[in-house]
Amino acid sequence: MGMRLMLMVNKQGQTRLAQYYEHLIIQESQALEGKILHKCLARNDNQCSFVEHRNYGIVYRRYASVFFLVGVDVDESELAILEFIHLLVETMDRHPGNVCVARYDVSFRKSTFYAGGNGHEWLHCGDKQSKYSVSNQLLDKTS
Amino acid sequence: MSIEDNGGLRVLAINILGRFLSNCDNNIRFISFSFITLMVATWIGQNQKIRLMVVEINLRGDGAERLRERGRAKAPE
Repeated sequence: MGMRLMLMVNKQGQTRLAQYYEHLIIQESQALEGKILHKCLARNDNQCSFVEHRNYGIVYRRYASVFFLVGVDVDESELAILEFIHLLVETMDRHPGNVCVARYDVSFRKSTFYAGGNGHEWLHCGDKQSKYSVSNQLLDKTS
Repeated sequence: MSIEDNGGLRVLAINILGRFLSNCDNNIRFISFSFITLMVATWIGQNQKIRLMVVEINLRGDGAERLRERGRAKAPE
């Protein structure tokens, strides 16, 4: 999969977790984040979850007051990335507890571990295994 | 798209995408609409029902403008 960035954003537009899978300098990443957030937060619930920005295809999904944004290549399968976001939220929900922003601030290291280290492992494991076995594997690693 | 086959599988694929097009979920409708516009660009006029659906989807705002922004395929007019 051609995944390039992953963001976890407040409803007010504050970035809670950012993980970049390719190298960007800080000015580029901040400008990119601002533009992407401005595009995604302006959409309402009746519109689809796929946004195009330059050469990124942004797939976002909203959980309570948290937006999960994943930036992929343009020719990536958008529905697969949407299911990947849900898998990530399910695993985050199972291990630290309830999905809310304050809890992720407390357990920041675990969130970074989920998004960073295991992001690539998930993408490789997801091609071969089912979704629940991947979640259980991750729970075995972290607990 | 790259599979070379006879007309039967093409009609089957277009009918399945048409069924996805009449789904109520916006994401699935968007994905099927993008694939149907790719098909319409290559295989002209396979199915009249799909053409009417595509024209109907084109009248709404969300899907067609995204596809025009992408530049994958022009929406059929």
